[in-house]
Amino acid sequence: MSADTQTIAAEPVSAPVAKKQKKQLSEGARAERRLGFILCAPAVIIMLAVAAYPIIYSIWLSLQRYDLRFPDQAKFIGFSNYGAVLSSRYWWEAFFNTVVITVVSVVIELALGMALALVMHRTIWGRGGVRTSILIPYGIVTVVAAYSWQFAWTPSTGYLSRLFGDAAPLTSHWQAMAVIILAEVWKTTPFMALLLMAGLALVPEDLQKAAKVDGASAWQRFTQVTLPLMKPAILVALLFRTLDAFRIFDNIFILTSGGHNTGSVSILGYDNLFTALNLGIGSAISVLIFICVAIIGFLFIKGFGAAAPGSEMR
Amino acid sequence: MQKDYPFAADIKASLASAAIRPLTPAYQNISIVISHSVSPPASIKPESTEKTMHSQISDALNSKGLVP
Repeated sequence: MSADTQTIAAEPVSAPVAKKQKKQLSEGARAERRLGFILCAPAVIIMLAVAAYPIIYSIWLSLQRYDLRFPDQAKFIGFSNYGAVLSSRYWWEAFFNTVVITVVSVVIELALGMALALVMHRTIWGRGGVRTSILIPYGIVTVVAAYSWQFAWTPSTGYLSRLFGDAAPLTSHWQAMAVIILAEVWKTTPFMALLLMAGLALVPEDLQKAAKVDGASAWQRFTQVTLPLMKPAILVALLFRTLDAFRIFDNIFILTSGGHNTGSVSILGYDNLFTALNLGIGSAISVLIFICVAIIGFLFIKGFGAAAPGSEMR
Repeated sequence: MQKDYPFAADIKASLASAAIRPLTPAYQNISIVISHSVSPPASIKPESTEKTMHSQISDALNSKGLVP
């Protein structure tokens, strides 16, 4: 632990030194750096072509009146599309639905996922079988799973509907939201459990034993030893799941198609792009979703100190 | 006929008052915003619902409206 804090403290000091040294690179180091850039170039070019170009094009579209039904009237209109979206009741309703689904499902997934991760971590007998059976929901295609949930909740065909006395939960707002959250939790809790299990593997067994010797109860060992040590893994798991949950589309599309005011922002974007064929408004919605996702990522990484994906875990 | 289709009279009556669909390239938008503002029928408030429909249809014609 002390070594870790030293490296963290040492970083800001070493950074300016490295900057000063930049100008005095030796011939060999410069050649090496050039080679590095050349080796990176193909990957960077492909990333620019498949990621940066579509993003920039959709930003460009969002600044225009670009309606496929009035193709002659396409023109640059600045931020009017953003004004239209942000002043629309439908956007805020969809945004509220998305936030509710995201927060509720991620909280439930974290609790359930932690329990499943502990089960997977602690099983001694039949470890492979237990892990496989826990991961099955995550292996099923979301659309297939969503269809089976839809059939199960449809009166006269579904067993779940019959169980609750021919209930039709997909026909009212809050019940449909509950079904969507249930389907989402069932589907992605294994993913959460998998990420948390990787975090559990980071906790040294010796610390648990030492805490046991000191007389800590099982709950104390969990909250005082395990949780602080796996905080980075928990934050990465929360970050991934929050970003995914905010962009929820397939479950809602199959279960209600956004009916009864259950649409998420992604459903709203789809409807405006592909039903209404209004590329300007649809792109503005997509860009706003992108901005929301970027804000969530920023809050997690800067606010809570989650390790950015790809960077080394401390 | 009456026995097999007991609702035949109702359909005939509704056909008598039929009108053509709005002739516009933005038909999709307009039909969605109309059906959305008059559903559920119990929530229709003639004055304000008419205003919402009017503004949403003109938004749709100017490519400014969102569809729910």
